Amino acid sequence: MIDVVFLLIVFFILVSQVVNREAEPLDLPEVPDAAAKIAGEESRLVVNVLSDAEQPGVGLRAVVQGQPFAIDPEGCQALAKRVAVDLESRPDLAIHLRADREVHFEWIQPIMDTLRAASAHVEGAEAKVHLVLLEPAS
Amino acid sequence: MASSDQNQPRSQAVCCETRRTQRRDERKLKRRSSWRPTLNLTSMIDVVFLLLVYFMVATEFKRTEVIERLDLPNRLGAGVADPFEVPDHPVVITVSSQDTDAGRSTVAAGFTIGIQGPFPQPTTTTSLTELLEARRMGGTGGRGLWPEDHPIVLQPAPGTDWEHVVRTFDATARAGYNNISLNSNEG
Repeated sequence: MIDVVFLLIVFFILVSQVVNREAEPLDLPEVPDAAAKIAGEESRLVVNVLSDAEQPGVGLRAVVQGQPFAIDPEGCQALAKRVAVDLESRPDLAIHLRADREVHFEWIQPIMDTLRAASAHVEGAEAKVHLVLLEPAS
Repeated sequence: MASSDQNQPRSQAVCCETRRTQRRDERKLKRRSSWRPTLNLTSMIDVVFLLLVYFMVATEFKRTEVIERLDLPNRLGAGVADPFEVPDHPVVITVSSQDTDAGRSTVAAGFTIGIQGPFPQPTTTTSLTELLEARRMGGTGGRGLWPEDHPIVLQPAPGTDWEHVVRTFDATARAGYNNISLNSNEG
């Protein structure tokens, strides 16, 4: 009886755990005592900025739902199109920028410009960009 | 005679009965002496493993992620300028990591913050927060003139780590402003 009950519990926990496929493994920046809040359940699009392991500080690529984009003019254009498509279907979309803590800012600037351009491109949409960071250790 | 005849088998029967019970008791004693307490291990292992798996699954190994709002002003959109609005000069805050060496593999130990203009230069994120808070309308001291949506531009220098940018952004946001943009481009 206990066996079966525990099996059922574990089964349902495993089933109900929604695997977040949008989040790529990376080192998020950590801010002590941050004025941040836990993300709500609103619709969101996660833009990951991965760093190049071989060249520290260099942003290697941006990943949106497993789809990689290079951080160069062509890649940014493709990313803008990708984000614009999502913004058109859901104008209240929040864009979460998950960047590796080591990436230098000059690699994140083109992505921000891209997001801004994408939201300007879509009528009636306003890019709500949120920065993702680690919860401060208590 | 007849009664004794009848009695004899009865006594024999009683005798047999007592012997039987004696033997049974002996057997019981023997069994009891050889009986050792054993746990039913199989089901216990079952339950223990299940508990183990349950707690492993239930424990969150990942630290939760939090978000900071950054509302990018939609500058590319054709906005209608209000002719009566006094143009706000944005407060420009510069950030740069102390060690901008491209070859290092970890986040630089420190970073420097600066404010363009006639302000006391902050040295830490806390002093930046205090400085901005004192200049906000309704902030500490009550003598601030900047409204909450006073434009603030963070200008990270080339080679600044994202973590330092985020820390400065957090310090600015904690002072109570909500119109902060990140822009490394001059002008």
